[in-house]
Amino acid sequence: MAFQLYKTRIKCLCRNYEIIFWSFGFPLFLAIFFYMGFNNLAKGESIDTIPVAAVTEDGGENEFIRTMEAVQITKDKRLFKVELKTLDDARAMLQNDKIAGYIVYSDKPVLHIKNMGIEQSIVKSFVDSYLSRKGTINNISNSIDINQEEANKDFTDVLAGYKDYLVDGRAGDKNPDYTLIYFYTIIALTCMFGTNWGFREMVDIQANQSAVGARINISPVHKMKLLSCNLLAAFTLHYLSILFLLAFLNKVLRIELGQRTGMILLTCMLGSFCGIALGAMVCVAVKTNVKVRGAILNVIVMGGGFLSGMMIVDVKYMIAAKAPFVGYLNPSSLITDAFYCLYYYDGYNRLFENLFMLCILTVVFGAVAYFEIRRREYASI
Amino acid sequence: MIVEVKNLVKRYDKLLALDHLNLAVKKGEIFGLLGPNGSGKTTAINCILSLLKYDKGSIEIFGKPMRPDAYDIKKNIGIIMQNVAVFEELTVYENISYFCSLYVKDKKEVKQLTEEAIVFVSLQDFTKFLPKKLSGGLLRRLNIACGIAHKPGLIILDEPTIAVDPQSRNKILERIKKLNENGATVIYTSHYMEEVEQLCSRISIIDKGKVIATGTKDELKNMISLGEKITVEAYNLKEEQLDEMMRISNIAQVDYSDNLLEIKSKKGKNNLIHILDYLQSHDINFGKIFTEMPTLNDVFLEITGKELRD
Amino acid sequence: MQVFKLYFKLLKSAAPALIIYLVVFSILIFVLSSNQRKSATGFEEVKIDMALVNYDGEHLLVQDFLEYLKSYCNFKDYGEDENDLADALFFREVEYILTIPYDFGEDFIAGKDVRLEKKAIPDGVYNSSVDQVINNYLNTARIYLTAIPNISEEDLVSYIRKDINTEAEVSIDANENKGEENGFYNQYFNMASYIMLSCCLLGVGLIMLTFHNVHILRRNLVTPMTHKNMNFQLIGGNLIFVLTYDIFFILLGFLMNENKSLNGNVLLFWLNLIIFSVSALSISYLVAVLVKSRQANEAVSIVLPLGLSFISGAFIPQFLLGDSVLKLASFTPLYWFVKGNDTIAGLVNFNWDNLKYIYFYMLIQLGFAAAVFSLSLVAGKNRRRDNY
Repeated sequence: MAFQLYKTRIKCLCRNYEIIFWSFGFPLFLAIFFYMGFNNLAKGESIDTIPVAAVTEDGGENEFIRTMEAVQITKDKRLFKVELKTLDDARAMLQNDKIAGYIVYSDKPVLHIKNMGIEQSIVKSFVDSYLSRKGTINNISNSIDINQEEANKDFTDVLAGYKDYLVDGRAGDKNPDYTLIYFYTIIALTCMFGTNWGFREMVDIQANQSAVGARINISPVHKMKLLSCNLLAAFTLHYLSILFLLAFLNKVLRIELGQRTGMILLTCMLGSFCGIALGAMVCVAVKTNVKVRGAILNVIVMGGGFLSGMMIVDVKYMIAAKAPFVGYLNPSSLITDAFYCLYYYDGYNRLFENLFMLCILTVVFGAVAYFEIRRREYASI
Repeated sequence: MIVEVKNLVKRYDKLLALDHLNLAVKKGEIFGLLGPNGSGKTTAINCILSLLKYDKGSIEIFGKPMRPDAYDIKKNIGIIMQNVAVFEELTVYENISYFCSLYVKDKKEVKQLTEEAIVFVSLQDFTKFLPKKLSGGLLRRLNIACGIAHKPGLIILDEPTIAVDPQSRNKILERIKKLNENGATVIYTSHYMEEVEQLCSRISIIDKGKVIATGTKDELKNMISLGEKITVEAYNLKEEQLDEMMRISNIAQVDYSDNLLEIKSKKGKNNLIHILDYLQSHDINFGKIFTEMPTLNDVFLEITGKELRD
Repeated sequence: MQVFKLYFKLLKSAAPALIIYLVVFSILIFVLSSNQRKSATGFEEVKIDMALVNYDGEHLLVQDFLEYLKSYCNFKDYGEDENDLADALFFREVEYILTIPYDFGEDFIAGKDVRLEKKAIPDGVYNSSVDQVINNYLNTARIYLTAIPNISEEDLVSYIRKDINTEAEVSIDANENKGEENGFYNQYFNMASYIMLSCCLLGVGLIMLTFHNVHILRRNLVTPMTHKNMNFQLIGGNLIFVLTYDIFFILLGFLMNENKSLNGNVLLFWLNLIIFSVSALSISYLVAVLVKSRQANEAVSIVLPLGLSFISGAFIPQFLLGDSVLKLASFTPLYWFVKGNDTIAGLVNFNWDNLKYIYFYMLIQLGFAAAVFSLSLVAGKNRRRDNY
């Protein structure tokens, strides 16, 4: 009989095509949007050729300009597009934002800009390093008697001999890609969509919230038994939607989730429980009209996402540093962090800390919902 | 007694919804609960079903006290609510079978009962329909099927015919009678006195949360002093003549408008003859004559001083 | 005007929910933009917090190197324990951990292939500039050591410092440095696009769902009022609703910004927001016409603004996004709104040549709004004959 109830409930939930569509489809859309937004970021192809103007005394090219033009972002993409202009032209171009800045070269280059932005600081750091190399070459040629021209000839070679003296000491082969956090927040968001499922189950079983609930309340089935079947049905579908997202993230978008499949599934399961319990609690504990309760749910889901770094990842760190307890009370944050641990850390301490807190929250939410719903008579319907 | 309610009190804040309500429903009867909108019918039903908390009083069903977890009692109750209570996402068949399965464990039996219920409400052609595709009348029938599929001994119908066309309404009433003939005790609430008169073997009239009268419809009608109502199509009556008529014995009230003379008589014999005598003796021309027995509305009017339907 | 009036009655019933949204979104935009303010201004001067693990000790080259680094970093001591360091990094107490191995200085001078180990937060804005500073120093040292093999350590460090401290002369060519001044508004209004779209979708959805309830819709449809007329009144009501939000966010931004001057840039920001809100409304209106359930509407309200904001550059600056993404984003008004904001922020000369771009971006947003409104009129017309 319990299985029968469970089966019917699944059928019932599945028929609500719109909700099913959104539960499965939404996280996917969001993941695709995020993917599009970040795809470029991590690869560093984002820098475009920067237009600059150069003003020389004779109006011709010199060593500096040639060096500048030689710098490449990728094989066939130059970092700077240098145009030789008169001072007045260059000024006008800068005013109309045609160029990032212009360089006046008399005895040494002077950079003229309108304001300091990313492009300008790239230009500046190029000029900085040019000057410092130039100084180095001068010093060397002064102390060991080779002539200036020869030194200049080697100049580009010297620049090319630039060597990276830093090794990244982070967690071995793992790519410390912060954009992953954004995708983990989507998983957390999907878990938190469970609030809707939990909410609906509670509405459908309470006599004072729906006609169907009233009918169920006078049937001889133990309410808690029926509720368990229904919640299990909701969990089944919700969990499937999460797994669907995980599969999409991992197989289609190639987002790294780490190797510990069992733990990943467990985290999702706890996340789903927590979401459903939270929705159930809001449904029974907040006694206002549906619109307000809907708003509260949205705010919890979205605010939780925000605090876990969904819009701006820094927020997550800000919370972790300044108000860690907020992070501990925010299921989205716990889920996001758990996934981060699964990907990044080999140990289990922090993962278990997150999962433990998640369990506690779930139990608290569930308990509040239970004690409210245990009441079987209502003051008014 | 199938249902026995004693001194039931229910308050909503300041509003006294049920004021020491007493009801007793005997086995095998169709018990009517008649009262105007807002008189406390639905509240009473919800209290009887333990859906609502009540402040005072006792409720026994099948001789046992009713509690929210009295599952053995609930097992034998069927309820048809005022609002249609079905799942939007499930088909007609699935809805009936789901609610039936809450009562009956055996799968085969559920199937059989569901099919019987569908036949009973004549929804055979609509088993695969979703509720939103059904018309109002069909939806009500589905609502009824969901409530009675498990063949309960006690069926409670809370205004099941609200917003239903006359044809469907008659069908519903017929079915309720049939359920009763099959052995079920029925409690039926309504503010349509015609329905209650037509259907119920015993009736309680309630107003402001109190039972103001209980009995068969004849008993109720005998409770009041009013006799039959006589309407005569008569022409050119004068004021004095109306006053004179008031003096005839057993006449309670005389109204005259649009050539229609309406006379309410007190209980007694030969009231009509006295009036006809008077009309003849005064050479008053008259056409059609018809008499009506007092209705439950008259009963209600006399006891409370207001109309049943306002 | 009946529909128009009805709109505000419905609005009243949705008020508690709308106020909850407004309060939360205000907090959201407050945190978002004050968080951004820090990194948006003063691109150069910021020193990052760095944990240093120095196993080398006293070598002159290393000492000088660290002295030099001090002008770019604040050193903090977290000991040598791996876990402590990892925690410090995780909680952003430091953004960078630099480990100098044993005998680094000696080995370096001896020409061995030695490296420094770094651990940095993955998304630190200034990490790469620190990387560059470190590499500059060591590369310069390498050049000297290659060219002058017997150079003394004292000479070496003094040469390096002299070379490396050479900085380009920069002159700032405008009357005043407006870009920085508008940094806050630029961020604030870019974020506001997300907030605005969310608010519109949620608010308009909440009200329109009541209106589009099958029974109410049908009741309205049998009145002699034309479909167009009814929609215009509804859109009018929605416009007023949205304008209220506009005014609220304009005031909030004004209060939050430390600089209270009202110049042309600020006014353009405002105008841009108002124009954007109209197109945000059009999207919300279309969604409200198409989506049937409250739950689905809420889901759209969460996901759509987030997704669009990500690809349109409301959160990540547009210049960091890929071309193909931006091309896709340019089909949404968000993109043009953000682009407009970015342009307004850098605007110094209010001549037609500069302004025409900004007006063009606004025009695109309005065109988008008009197109979507007409689309929703058509969609609404079809919807009313749907079987429910």
